[in-house]
Amino acid sequence: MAITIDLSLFNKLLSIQKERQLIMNDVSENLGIDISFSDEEVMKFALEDYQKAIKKQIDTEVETWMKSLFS
Amino acid sequence: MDEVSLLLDLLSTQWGSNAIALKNAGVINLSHAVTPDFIDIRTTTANKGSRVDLSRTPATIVVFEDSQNIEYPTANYDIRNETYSFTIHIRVLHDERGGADASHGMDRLRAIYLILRRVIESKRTGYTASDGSKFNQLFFGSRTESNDRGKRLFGYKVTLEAKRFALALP
Repeated sequence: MAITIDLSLFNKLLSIQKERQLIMNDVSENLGIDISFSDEEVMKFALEDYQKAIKKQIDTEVETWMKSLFS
Repeated sequence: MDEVSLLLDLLSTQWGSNAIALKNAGVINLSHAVTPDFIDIRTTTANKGSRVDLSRTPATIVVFEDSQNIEYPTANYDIRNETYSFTIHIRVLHDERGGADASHGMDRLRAIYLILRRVIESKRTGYTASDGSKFNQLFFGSRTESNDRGKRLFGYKVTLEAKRFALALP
């Protein structure tokens, strides 16, 4: 069993989204229209990325099990 | 040209013809067959701070590169395959331009999404820019709704995967 719930990974993904929120704030200022991400969107995007990362981990683990089972 | 610029080049050069094709097919209204602002966030500089006329900003598309993966698939490690993941944000303001049409923003967002999907799907087997930069495959990915009622802002977050195959090593 090699699947781990790694909260540091979530924090890393969240910080990426926060960085993007700051960039979008800058872009909004330059454009003169507010197209920035809300805090809810930032959390939602980070959770989506985390979900993808966990899914990838599970897929890899299951594939390894299957290969060892049939080899 | 780097990968984000290449993707923006693809969108800006192919947008018009695909918008017209969808309009002619009756899939989108003429009023929504518009070209959005394509924004490469890395080139945001102070001299771009001039205010944009809202009437000339029908929608905004912002591209972020998420990841890049390289593999060397041969026994001699003499060629390289590259995979790029992008996130594309479509942002549409529902404002007075919609007039009495309560669904103007949503319809505009849908039209922009359909044009974007058509552009990518029409180049699914590759796109080459004028300077020779190319992607060999493009895959349109999942879509997430991303609306902000407070700002009357409608949005979609779309993922995209681009691949380059068999690049010779020096």
